[in-house]
Amino acid sequence: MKSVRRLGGWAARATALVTLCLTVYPPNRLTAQVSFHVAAGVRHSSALVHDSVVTGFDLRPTLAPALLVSVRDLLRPGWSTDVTLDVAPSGLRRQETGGSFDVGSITAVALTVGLQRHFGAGVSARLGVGGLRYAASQTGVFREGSGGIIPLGTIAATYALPLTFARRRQLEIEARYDVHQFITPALRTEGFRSGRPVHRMAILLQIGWGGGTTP
Amino acid sequence: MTPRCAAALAAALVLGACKDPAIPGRLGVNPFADTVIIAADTTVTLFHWPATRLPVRFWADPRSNMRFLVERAVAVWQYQFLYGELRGVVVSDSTAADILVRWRDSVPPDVPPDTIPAPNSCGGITTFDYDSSGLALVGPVHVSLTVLTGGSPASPGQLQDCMRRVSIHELGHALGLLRHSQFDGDIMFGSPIANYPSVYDRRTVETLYHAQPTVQPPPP
Repeated sequence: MKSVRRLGGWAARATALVTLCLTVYPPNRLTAQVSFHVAAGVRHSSALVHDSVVTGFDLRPTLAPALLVSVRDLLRPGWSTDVTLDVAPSGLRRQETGGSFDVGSITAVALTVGLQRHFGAGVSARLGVGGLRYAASQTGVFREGSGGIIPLGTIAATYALPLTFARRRQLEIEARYDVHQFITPALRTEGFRSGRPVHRMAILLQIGWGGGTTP
Repeated sequence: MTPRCAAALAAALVLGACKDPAIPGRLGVNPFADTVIIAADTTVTLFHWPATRLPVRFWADPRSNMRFLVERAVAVWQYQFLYGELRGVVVSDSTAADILVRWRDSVPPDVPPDTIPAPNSCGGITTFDYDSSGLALVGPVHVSLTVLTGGSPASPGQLQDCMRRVSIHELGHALGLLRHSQFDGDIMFGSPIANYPSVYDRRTVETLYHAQPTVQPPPP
C-alpha cells in the first residue's frame, strides 16, 4: 500500500500566508525593527504512543530534518516577538522487543508566536506558544484523522556567533525544545483517555535578514 | 516578563505535560491459536506473518471480481491495525505470492451486491501446507471461495454479498486467525453474518500480531 505524505489544509494555508507576507513585504523592505529568519537542523522526538499488547512497544518519529521560517519584530531594546512556522517531516517506526519496524511517515507542522529576551553577548532565550498539526496518510493511529490542531509550548536558547561574517548574516545556533500532547481519534476509539506528552528537541542553524543588528 | 517569570512559565509547561496516559485494557480477545496432533504430541499452532515479511503478497484469481474482493478484504484487515503490524499487496504473479485466492468451482458473476441475506449460499476454505514437524509452512497459503448449492437458491447479487463477507473471513484465517469465534457478531464466526470485523475481531488479530508465533512462514 502506498504511503501518502501531504500537508493538511491548515498547514497549506499557513505556508501560503507566510509566503504572501514575504512576497508583499520582502526582507529588503522591512523596517529596521523587523527581520526574517530561516533555520534548518535536526529534531529528535520522544514516542507519540506507548502501548502494550502482549508486550510493550512505542510508536516514535525518526530523527528528522526541521525547517523553520520566522518573522521577528523588535519590541523594545532587549526584547523581540516573532511568528514562526516549523515543518518537520519524519518517518514513523514501531519499536518493540526484537526490533524496530517502519510504519509510514508523518509531517509535523507548527505555528507559534514567541517572546524573545536578548541577554547580551549574543545569548537570547525564547518562550513561545502555538498549535501543531500532524499530516499523515489515513492509516494506523491516523486512520480516523489526526485530531486537529494540538496546543504546543516551546522554549529555545540562541547563541549568535561572535564572528564578523556571522554577524553580517545574523547567523545563530539555536537549541529548541517543545512539548505537546499527542492523541488521535483512533487512539480514543482504542480506549486511550488522554494524550501522551511528546517532547521534541531540535538543534538548528539560523540565518536572518533585515532588522539591523541584534539588540 | 522577567527572566524569572519566563523560567517559571517554562517549568510549568514541562511539568504540566509529563503524565503518561493509562494504557487501555483490552478485554474480549477470542482464541486464535490452534492445536494439532503430530505423532501423538499436541502442538500449539500460532501463526502470523512476521514484520520482516511485510507486505504480505496476495494473488487473486483473475476471473470475475476476485481481485476486487481480495483488495477489499486486505484493506479491511489492514485498517484493524493501529501500529502498522500488517501491510498487504495484491501481486499479479502467483509464483511470487504468499497467499493464493481462487474460485473453487463455479465463478459467480460480477454484479452489485444484494443485501437481502441468503444463508449458506457461499463458503470458503483456507489450507496451510506444514512441514513434517508442523512448525513451518512449506508453501503459500491457499484460499478458495465457493458457491454452495445445497442451501436456499441465491441470486447473483446475494452471492456477491456473501462473497464480500466470506473473503474477509477466509483472509482472516490466512493471516493467522486459525479458529472460529463463537459469537455471531464477529466476522470470524463460523458462518459469518457480520459484514466487517467487530471490535473483538480487531482485538484478537491485534493480540495475535504481538504474540510469539510457533509456526514459521514459508520461504520467501
